Amino acid sequence: MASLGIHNIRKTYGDKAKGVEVLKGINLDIADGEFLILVGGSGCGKSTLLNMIAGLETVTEGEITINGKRVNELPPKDRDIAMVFQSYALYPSMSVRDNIAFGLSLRKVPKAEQDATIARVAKLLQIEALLGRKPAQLSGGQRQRVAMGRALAREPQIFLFDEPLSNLDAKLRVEMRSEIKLLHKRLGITTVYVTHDQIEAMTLGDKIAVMKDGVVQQFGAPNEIYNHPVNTFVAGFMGSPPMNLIPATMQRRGSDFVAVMTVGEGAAQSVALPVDARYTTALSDSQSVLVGLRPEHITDAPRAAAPTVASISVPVELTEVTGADILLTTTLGGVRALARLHPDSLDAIRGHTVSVSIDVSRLVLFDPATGLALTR
Amino acid sequence: MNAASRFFLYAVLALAALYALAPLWVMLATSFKSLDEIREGSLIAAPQAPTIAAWSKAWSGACTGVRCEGLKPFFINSLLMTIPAVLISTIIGALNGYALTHWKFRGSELLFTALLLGCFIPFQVVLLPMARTLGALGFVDSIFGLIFVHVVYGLAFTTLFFRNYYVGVPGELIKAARVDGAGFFTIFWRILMPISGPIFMVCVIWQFTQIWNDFLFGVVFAGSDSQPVTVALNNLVRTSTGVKEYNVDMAAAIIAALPTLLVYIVAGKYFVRGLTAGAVKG
Repeated sequence: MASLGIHNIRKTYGDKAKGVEVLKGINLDIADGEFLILVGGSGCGKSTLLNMIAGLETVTEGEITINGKRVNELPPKDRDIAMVFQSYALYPSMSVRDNIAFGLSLRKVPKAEQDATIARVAKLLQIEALLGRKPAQLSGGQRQRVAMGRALAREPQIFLFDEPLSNLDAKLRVEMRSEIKLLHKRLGITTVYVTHDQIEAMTLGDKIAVMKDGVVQQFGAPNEIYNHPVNTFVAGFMGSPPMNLIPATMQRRGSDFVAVMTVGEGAAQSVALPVDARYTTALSDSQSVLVGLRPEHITDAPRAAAPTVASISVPVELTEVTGADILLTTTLGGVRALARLHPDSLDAIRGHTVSVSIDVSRLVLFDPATGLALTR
Repeated sequence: MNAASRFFLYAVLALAALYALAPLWVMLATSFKSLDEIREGSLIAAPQAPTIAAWSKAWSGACTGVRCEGLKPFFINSLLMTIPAVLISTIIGALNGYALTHWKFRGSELLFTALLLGCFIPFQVVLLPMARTLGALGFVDSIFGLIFVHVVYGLAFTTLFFRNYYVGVPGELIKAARVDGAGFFTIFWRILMPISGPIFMVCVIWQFTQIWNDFLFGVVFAGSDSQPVTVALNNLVRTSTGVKEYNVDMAAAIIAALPTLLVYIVAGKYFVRGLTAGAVKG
């Protein structure tokens, strides 16, 4: 059990002055037992950061602390961490039992205690029947379990996961995802989990750090990040399908503002959406903005129960039936926008236009030049 | 493919095989003949009255210069030189390859390039400097000196072999072992060695053949008591007291070549497999 602190971490490959800087001052703090997600596209530095926490990469600048104690100079084996890798990294020449026992025997744990631990872990992960097999004789999901078992056996202070599910097929991934979540709930071990999959990030994390180009874009709880992204990158990265970013112009209406955006391709019509009073101080008349709206907040009558709705009629360009929803593609503000409709409304949208309701209380405003969210 | 072209194909292959095997046949046949039979019969005829007299003379009685003890002592010299040299150069090469792929350090690529250069240095170039080095180390005229020379010059190849093999081993495997608490040598012995079988065989075959067949270093650096079998074979063939004993020469040549042939027969199938083996799948 441990808290983890990451303070002003920088990483430069090659020469410090001329080299490539992959991490540019990362600050993250998680409490004991929390589940931290590092999420971002490839090359954002998330795996490098994880390797640094593990002690597999050196720290160029800054400080990593476990339980408040600086660990920068400690080798991996002395940090009391365990790691699960994307490729599982099971030792190919050893049986499953030996894979799990390897770390224990190197730490000179007595044989009887090793056997007890192996039995406990195998039972927990339901791999008792596989203990005698070699990694090559296991399926992807089984290897994944063994890799987790190997990490669990050590009872580490911190668990590190490096994209552990990305080599599994879709069904297994969802299964293992819930299992990791359950395991964390049951054991309460502080966890850092790297992924590029925003659904994994949302479902697993207590805290999410969205990273891009070696910088943490936003660090917060999943809901916070989903509902109040600090910039257009986070808005576009989190959520599937991502948040719509619709170009619009602000207009003053008395003491309030409305966001005016064109509807349809010809831009013949436009619609004005009332903007929450919270934004008023940050806005000026005829200012250009990007209106951020999640697809589920542009929806049809059966779902739009909130009092803060504006109804508009939008052209239908494409409908995709997913089963649980209908994804409707239309054009708002001159760009593609997605709306999420109730599956029963398929008959209603046979025409060229459909009436949708927008939950304006959910709307987020961004500065189109900087991409930053306008302060509320 | 029709019958005619298939026939043509096999005819060409048979001819090529015949061409390659004919000298071996002549050697084998001649080594089992008596001198009289060699003088009277045809070169490629099978021996009429096979005898192993030539073999036993080549092994333990023929003269190599002033000594007349056959190839036996030199054959043993060769074994004493080759086996340690092969094992030491292979193990050091494996360690080098492991360090160069999974424990990279500043300048490790440069070091590897420099090592590669060692594969292309002709041995004649190093004769004099090596003679001085052996002199300075006190290894002159001994089997130990020969082992040293062969280890040093084998390292370039063994390092190259193992480096290219270990490049295919996922880095995460090493990382996992480090997190588990294993150090440099523990990872090498417990994780990498058990999966190095194929490349180990390649290295052993390559090094065994190179070192066993070496003549130049043997003739230059060995003393009269530490000469390898290749040098002794040369001396045996060139020492004649009146009559040229072709049957003894042939038997001696086969004896000298036998170990490398054996290594190929026993481990040959691993050779191609090891050279083509790629990444190790978990």
